[in-house]
Amino acid sequence: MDNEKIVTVLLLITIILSVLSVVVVLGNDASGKVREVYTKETITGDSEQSGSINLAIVSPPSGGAG
Amino acid sequence: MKLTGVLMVVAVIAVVVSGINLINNVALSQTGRASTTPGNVTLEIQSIIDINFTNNIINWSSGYVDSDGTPTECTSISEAQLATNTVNGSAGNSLASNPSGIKCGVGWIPRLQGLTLQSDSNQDILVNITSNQNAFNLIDNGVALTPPSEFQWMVQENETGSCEAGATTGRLYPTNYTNVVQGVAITICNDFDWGPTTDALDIDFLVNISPQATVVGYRTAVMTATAERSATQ
Repeated sequence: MDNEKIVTVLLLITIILSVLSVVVVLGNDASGKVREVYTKETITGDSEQSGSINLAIVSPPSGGAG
Repeated sequence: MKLTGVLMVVAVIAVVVSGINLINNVALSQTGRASTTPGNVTLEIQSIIDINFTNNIINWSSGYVDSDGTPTECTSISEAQLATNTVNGSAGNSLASNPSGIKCGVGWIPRLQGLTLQSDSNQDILVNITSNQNAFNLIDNGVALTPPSEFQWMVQENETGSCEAGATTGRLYPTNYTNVVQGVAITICNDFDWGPTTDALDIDFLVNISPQATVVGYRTAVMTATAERSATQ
């Protein structure tokens, strides 16, 4: 085999290897998608409040509440 | 011949470089290939339970039971009635079907608005309410009277749709005046909504003061509302 044929074969091998590299890269999952999502919940705020009922009972003019 | 030799060297180098590149892509995963380790995202959802009495006080001021026969039903055996909402026929000892306000009382100021509880939460909640007093202690001062005084409450929607209706959800309670039990929490709504126009409840009160009540002085009852996450989200 003369040198020209050897060079030709080597160039063909180079082309094949380059094509394979491109195929491998394109075949990889390069989307970077999120695989898991974690959620966490916390509770804040005032959960207790108060109101009041007020009145006063006074003595009537005749005396006594009743 | 010399040019062919140079091309051969270049071709050999090209083969070697291509081979290394291919091996690198397949075995070492260093060409932008996504890692097999998951990309985790942590999302924190803040859950708020927040209630507020927008009207937090009912103050009837001072007064006494009117028993002078004017109007005619206000006699020595009648009771004074203070109510923030309409009283139906089942409430009260002797003054059934009276409207809200003051009946057979002198001096007390009519209050026609109950305690208003609003939810500022971002989820449906369950609300309990507890009183630190009942009629026996609040009005009758621990003395058994005939007829006894009464201290009752009821709940209604201040904004329609605030307590979501349904066979097993919502359950606004009590919707008629019911005796207040001291120190016992009752659930007034187990699915209290949080919408901008559906997040308010009114808690109304009725006080019937026995004509036999002899205690004078300032009386107060504290209502405590507590909220928790509703099970009917």
